[in-house]
Amino acid sequence: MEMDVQPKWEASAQDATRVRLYVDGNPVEAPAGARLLDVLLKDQPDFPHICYHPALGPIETCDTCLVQVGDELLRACSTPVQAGMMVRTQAPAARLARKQAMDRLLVNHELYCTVCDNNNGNCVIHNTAMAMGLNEQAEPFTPKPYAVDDSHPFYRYDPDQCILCGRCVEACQNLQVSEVLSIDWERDRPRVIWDDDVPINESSCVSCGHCVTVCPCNALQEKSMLGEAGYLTGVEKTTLRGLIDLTKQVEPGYRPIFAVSEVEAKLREARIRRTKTVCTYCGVGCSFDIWTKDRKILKVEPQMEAPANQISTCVKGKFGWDFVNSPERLTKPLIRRGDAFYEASWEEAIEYIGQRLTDIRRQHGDDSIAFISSSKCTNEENYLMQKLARAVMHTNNIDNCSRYCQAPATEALRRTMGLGGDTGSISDLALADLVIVVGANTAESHPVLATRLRRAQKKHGQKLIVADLRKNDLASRANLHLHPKPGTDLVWLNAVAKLLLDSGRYDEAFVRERVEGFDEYAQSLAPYTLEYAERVTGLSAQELQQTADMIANAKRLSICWAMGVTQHRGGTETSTAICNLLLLTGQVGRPGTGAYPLRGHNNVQGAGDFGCAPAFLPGYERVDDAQVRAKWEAAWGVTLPTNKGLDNHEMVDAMHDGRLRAMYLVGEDMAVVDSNANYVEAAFEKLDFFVVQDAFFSKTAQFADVILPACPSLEKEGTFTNTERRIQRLYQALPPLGDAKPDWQIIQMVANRLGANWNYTSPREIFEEACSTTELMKGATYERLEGYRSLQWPVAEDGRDMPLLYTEQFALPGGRARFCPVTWQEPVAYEETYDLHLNNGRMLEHFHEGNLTYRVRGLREKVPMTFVEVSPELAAERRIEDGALVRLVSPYGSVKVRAVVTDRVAGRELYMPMNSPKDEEAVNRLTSSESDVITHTPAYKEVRVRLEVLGDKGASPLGRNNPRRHQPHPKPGVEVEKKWARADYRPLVGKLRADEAEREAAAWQNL
Amino acid sequence: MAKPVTTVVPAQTDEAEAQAKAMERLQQMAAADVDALAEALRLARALHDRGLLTLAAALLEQADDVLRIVVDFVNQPGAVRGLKNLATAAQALGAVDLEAFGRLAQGAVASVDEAKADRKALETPLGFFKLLAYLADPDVSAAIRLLLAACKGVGRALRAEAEGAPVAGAGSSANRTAAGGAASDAGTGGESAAAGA
Repeated sequence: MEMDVQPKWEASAQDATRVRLYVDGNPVEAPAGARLLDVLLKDQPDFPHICYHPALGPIETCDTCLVQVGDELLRACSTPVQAGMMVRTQAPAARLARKQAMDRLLVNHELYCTVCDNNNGNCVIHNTAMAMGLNEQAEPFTPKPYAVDDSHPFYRYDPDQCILCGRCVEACQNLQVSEVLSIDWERDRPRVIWDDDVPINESSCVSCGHCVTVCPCNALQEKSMLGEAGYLTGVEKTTLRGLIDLTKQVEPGYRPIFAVSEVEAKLREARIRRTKTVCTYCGVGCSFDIWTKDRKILKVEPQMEAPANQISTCVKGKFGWDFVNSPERLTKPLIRRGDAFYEASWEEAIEYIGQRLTDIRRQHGDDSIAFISSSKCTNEENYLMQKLARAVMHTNNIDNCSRYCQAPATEALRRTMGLGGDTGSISDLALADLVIVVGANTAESHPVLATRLRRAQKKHGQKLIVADLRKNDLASRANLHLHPKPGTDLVWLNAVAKLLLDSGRYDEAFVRERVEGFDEYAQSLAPYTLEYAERVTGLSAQELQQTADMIANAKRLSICWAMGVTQHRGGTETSTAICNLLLLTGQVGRPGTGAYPLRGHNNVQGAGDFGCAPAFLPGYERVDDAQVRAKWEAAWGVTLPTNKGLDNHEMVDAMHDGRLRAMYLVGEDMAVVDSNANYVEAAFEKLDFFVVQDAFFSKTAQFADVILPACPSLEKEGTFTNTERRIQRLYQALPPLGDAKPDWQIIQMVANRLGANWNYTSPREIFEEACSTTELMKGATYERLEGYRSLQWPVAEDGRDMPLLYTEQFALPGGRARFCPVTWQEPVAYEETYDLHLNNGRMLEHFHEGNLTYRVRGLREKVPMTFVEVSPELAAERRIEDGALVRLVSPYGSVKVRAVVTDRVAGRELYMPMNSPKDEEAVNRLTSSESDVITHTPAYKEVRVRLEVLGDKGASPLGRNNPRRHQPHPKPGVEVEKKWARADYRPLVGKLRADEAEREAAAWQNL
Repeated sequence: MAKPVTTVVPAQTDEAEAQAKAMERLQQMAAADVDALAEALRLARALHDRGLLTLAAALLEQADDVLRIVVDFVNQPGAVRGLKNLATAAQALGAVDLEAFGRLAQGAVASVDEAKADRKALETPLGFFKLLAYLADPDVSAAIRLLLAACKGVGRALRAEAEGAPVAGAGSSANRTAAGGAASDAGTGGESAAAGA
């Protein structure tokens, strides 16, 4: 399925007019306009085709799918079916042409399958040559005059093996849309080039891996596969060359070579495991197969059936998994004694935890202990964690780190529309006519989702408005880039809403029929005049009017937002303003429309869905609702607490004032990711007892009394829920390292020591207990999530799910949505000496604080340290050079980092990534304890600092190997016309002359 | 007051206990597979007695060097030709219809036996006219036709090689024209030439 160009065969089969055509004399029915190749492949799955890939569409470079239609040879990949079409796949002219096409490809590719690391049963060239019964080639393989490009840490390009099909170029230019790769057709021997022909590692390549994934052979290959995948591929290069030469000289034809390589490929299956997993690096929810040999990770192999991403990945998902084998992994429980941690047995550690928590509870009460779960852990683990807090320890002091990012968006959606999740799917974003991105660096934080937007814009004319302080990737591509003053998004959103309202350009019928509270909302907009908005936001009236015009002209509008909106004192209010705007314009509940808060971690959505928040039980069922409590009490056989629980933010204050005495924290480096890190660390020091469960010895773990070694996602089973509310299963790819255990097992051990008497033997049991008790996910079962199947909640008991919400009614009383008038919260005020605004956020190459990704060598090479981005204007004013050491000072702390001078930031605004290999450089040494007034999400984005130039000039933190140093090279695609225009190109398609047809038929018969 | 701590003291591993645990596990595994283990030991003893275990270990230890030497040696023109001949002979043998060949061989054996039985005839020289008379014999004539057909094939191949026409083979220096290749794609069998014209 090419997700947004060609409708899915099955879907289109129902909608489109069906026509009858004839294939080799047999009648076949297909939707009018369907791709002929797709139709042929239904009955002839082995029908040759190499450059065509369902995610990319026709590329037309290889000519291996030629068929005869009437008296003409056509490429089946680019021919739409028509009624009465007479297609002959086996006509001699077509077969001969296909053989010639294959011969031409093999001039560019040496077949040495048995000793090739791509011989794994899925090599497109190998399989096509086999299916064609190829035994020899008419023209010999001739090497190209180019060296192998081995420069990149994760993949290499071997020009000699490249058949110039252009799949990689199409994927880079039009699916990922990073626009780096092209084929230089002008050369005597064409080849793929990066940018204007530079080494891969010195290009604008963002290492997403699309090109490697779609390569039909071994020209582009993951370095982790080289010398590892095959039984004979690990031998020395010169010996390998000898083996290849020998095989080719001795074998009388390809068939025996293919037979041997088929056997060898089968043998590989005995030692290479392919396991479906779900990525943990953001909320998009990419799923793929991961290939492992013992504990070694050979590669990530995306699959077309993956519902969120198909074949797309980003650099972390494709290449960022080696941390699981890091020698720094925690493999044994550790217990603090004096000034050191001592390795201990599980029994010893659990017994100690049990004793201490029991004592503290007895002495200080139920609410003296708090639990923090993890948006990186599975739904099952989150469910157990809140069950431990509530059902075993009788407290609602349970939260997770979505408090740090998405709680305001969830609250805004809940109060205006009813459910705290994205209203549609990623596919809706691709369908929209206009997408507005507010306060989100989507290309770096949700890279695969950004590919859908870039593709929709480039290929289908989707319009894009980006409101952000930085000229990030999407902002630089946007039709309109709004750069408001920090913290003023609510003002321009309301001003635009007022413009639309005043000019009557809103969906009056939708508002009347489906939304409550219009009058009050309309009145609340009165102060947001153009003049006021210009003054507060710094945007011009023209920009605001253009925004309103673009919204008014869009049939389908979707709005995405993230931390640039939520991490403010007015995070919930601004999120609500976005929802209000969508309701006013009737842009919810239809395909291509809706509200999309982009979840930052793999299971931010699921951690909330499964009850890790003080006010909500699983399924967002309210703790303060007696009926709800009664249901869960019956299910769990306990009495539930009624006290209001503490959220993360409140917990820190409670540690300081002595109300909170102990904490059990899972999978979160709270010491450096919570705002005002120095204050948080001081709070940890005051705890009587602290249990930290993690895969690594994090900064937070340093404050613990007991550290429990947990397994990362590849070592366990379970489910995650992505930003689309999509529940997906992950399967165990590796055994736990050392004595580490999956989190669900550890939580159960702790719970049982505290008297729970649980007996879960698998995550399946946990999941099904949780879902069957909720109303939201009643019908979700492991069977319905088998393999790549997924469910987007709400899930009815019969298994029906809901990819698009609110098509009929909203999830609020009466089925109607609700306008919620909002109030603008002025950003935190600072003394004048703090004269620079410090923006902060993620980077593409690293995840969150970098705990995992700095342990992947290639990622660390790409971005070895944190830094501060300084605008060219400020750099000139303060004489700051690239690489200069500077100190940033806020009222809460200071850090020393190197500067990167870039026009991604402007004026007196700085930007600092939140990832850092050194705890003392973390941006949260500078952030405050201010928070969203409604949900307590820290106001990370409201920081001002002063900058001191320290005079030590070093190398730039972003070296030549960083893609940000280089300019992309946009092309329309592969530009196959340039190939066809070459003097040495002999066309294989076109009308057959009568004599030609006869001659070729005779030639075929003679063979 | 829990100040941050980064020192980790590894557990004192009790060697004796670890060894005892390992032995216990080994014993359990041995008990579960006692027959297979006994057979494996017999094989190991035989290999050891013949010195093959030492040889195998040495080969594995020096695998890269050994493989390089073997490949270098086998890649010499003579050795390549030998392997090629072997492959070609195997292919030729594979092409022979054994049933038909069997019938031919049986016929030949029967005739040879017949001829051997006529001791007198064996002692008499075969004259020119007698030879011509044999040609008129339908059995002899059929056999000569077969031999001549084989000669024709050999001659055609010889001439083709002298004229520099291509020799089929993977990755060889073949230079056949684009139209000269042979394939039956998709393995489904094509239309007849007449149908395609």
